[in-house]
Amino acid sequence: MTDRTTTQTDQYEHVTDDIELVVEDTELPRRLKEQIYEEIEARDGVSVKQADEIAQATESRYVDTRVDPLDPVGTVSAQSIGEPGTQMSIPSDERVVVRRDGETAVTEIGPLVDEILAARESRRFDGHEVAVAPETLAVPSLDADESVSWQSVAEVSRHQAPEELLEFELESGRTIRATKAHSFVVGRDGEIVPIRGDELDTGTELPVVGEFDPSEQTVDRDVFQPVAADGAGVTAAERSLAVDSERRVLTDVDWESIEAIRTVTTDHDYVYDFSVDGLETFTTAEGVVTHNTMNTFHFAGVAEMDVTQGLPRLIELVDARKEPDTPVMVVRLDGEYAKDRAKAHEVVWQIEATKILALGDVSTNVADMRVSVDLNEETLLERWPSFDDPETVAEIIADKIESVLGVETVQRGTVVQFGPSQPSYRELLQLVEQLREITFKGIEEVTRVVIRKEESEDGDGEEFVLYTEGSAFADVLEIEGVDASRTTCNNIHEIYRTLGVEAARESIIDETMDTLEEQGLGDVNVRHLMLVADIMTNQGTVESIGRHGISGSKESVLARAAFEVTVNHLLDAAIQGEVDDLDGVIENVIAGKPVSIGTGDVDLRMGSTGDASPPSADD
Amino acid sequence: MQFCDDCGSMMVNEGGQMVCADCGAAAEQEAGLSEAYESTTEQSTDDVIETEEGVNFEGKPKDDDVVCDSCGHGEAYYTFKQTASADEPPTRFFKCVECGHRWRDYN
Repeated sequence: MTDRTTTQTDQYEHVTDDIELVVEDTELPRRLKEQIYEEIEARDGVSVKQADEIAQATESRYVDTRVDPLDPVGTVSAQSIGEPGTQMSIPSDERVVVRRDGETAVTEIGPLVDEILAARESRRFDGHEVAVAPETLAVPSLDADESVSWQSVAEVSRHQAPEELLEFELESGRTIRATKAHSFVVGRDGEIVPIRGDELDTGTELPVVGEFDPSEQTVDRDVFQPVAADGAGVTAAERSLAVDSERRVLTDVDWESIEAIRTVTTDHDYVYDFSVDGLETFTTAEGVVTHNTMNTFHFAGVAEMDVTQGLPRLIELVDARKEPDTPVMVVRLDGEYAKDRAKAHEVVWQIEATKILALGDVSTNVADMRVSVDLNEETLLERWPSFDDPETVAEIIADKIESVLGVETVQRGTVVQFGPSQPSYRELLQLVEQLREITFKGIEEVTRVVIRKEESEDGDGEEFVLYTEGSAFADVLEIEGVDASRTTCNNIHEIYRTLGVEAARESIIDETMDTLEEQGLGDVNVRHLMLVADIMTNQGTVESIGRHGISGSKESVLARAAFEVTVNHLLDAAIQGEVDDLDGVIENVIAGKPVSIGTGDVDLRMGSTGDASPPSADD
Repeated sequence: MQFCDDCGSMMVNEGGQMVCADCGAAAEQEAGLSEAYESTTEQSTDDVIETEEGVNFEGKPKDDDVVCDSCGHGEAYYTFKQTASADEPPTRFFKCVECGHRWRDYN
């Protein structure tokens, strides 16, 4: 090695082997090393110590400014990656308090999120892997009134770990590490507001919960045990344990100031985050309340549902797509169905597709080759309110199984058993698969219903409105309790089939306007949209704007050819011997002739009037 | 599932006796095997989600420096999104706290 490098510095008279050693010891690229040698050469008489200092200084600056692959750089990239890119997260081995299936546990966030991402369908989003969290996963979360209660986790996510993290140490010795952009919450003017990690200073107070035990590095776990409604189990005197009907307050937060902030690194590939409802906070094992910033509006009416929005939705509308990407219905209810929760639920059971797993346990016994369905009596009576004997309902279900699967069932109470006619392992499992697909009640297409309490349109109090995933407009209008005059769906063709072309026109206008309003573009004049809707519907059916619809039915060959698939249109026209009269604008632009509108519509002629004297100005 | 001692094929239950599907050898059904080979998928307890208007906006940041064009209220929820090219400032989306009117601000 020395041999090779010696040859590299042979040309420099003043660069000794020792100097070369200290320079070569740095992480600098060849080009910069050469520059250092040149500099030392030029200065003449640089000692080894000075050379070392030069090399060190150069190296530290170099490392500071070095950009690693995939590192976003500068203001422009900071803006272009936007909010999610600057999202903050906490490292893999940071321990958090979670409740899963009713069990409170302290766990490292990394493995937990990894497991969920592996088990569930995840989507990629600006370098983030995001998955919907299991419904049973909850974290202690801070509310605006400074109390802490369990909130369910909406989503979990991870993204690549940055080089540096911040570590905060609080008065009591609690620590938390997070990315620089990770947001925390602080109290300001009596309100709890989010703040970025790198904006925190020593002395700033962060919300914490429970008693911290420095030896265990964990907060006293009792804090997170559910408090009985009568207040039993209260240990710390100061804790206000207001238990209201809606949610159980675990404890109030304390505020603790930051002692020290350090920059640390992480060995893990990813950093992690929870997205929580409400104020979006969760709590680490050391009792520090931290915030997440997946902070975007849910534009659609109901946050629980994912509905196509924005430009994709607009395209879908003007394309008159037969089936929207996310078909949904808004079902408004009649009279007492709208006011009474139980009555509203009755309508839900009429609409939502009920599968076997919603009704009871399904056991498969491969030894006896039998499938046994243990129906839940309570659920049966709830979903079939007109019956008062669960066994009668079980009979209906057994009949349905028989007719769909073509098997003999044996019913004992609310237990329904059946199996393949010939003992076959494969057939048995196929039967179970098919059983899960059967819709026992409700509308096949509607996979989910969300009930939302809204202010009544007529202004007298509140009413329940049903939002459905999947649509079957005609079917739902028939159901008792549904107010057909105020129920809509987002499938234009379904509206057209059910209510006719005028309703379809109206619905195109409403849907396009709603889409724009959701995006904050509500100042678009509705007449533009009416014009679009008129053109799409004036043939008496719903036609798309595009080559299959409006633009494809133009009279002129050249006008059609100018729009899309030019060659096909010209070829077809040639084969059929079509004639173009060159009346329209596009045709004349193509032909290089004046268009026959505006100034192009008048011809100007020069010539004498036959009168010798020119006309006076008065004429 | 029970397997034949002679040929190793799967045995099926025929009138309380386990009979080999391949060679026809019969054997007593092993006690307790039935439970061991039963797998149960439990009833899903997902309840119908009930929600309320505006619940997804709880705790979202608010700006009191704006005026709603629709109702004149002076407070609105906001969020940022980079809608234009990267050298443009992000677009601010507002939603009026009072009437729910939404609008944009480009600078």
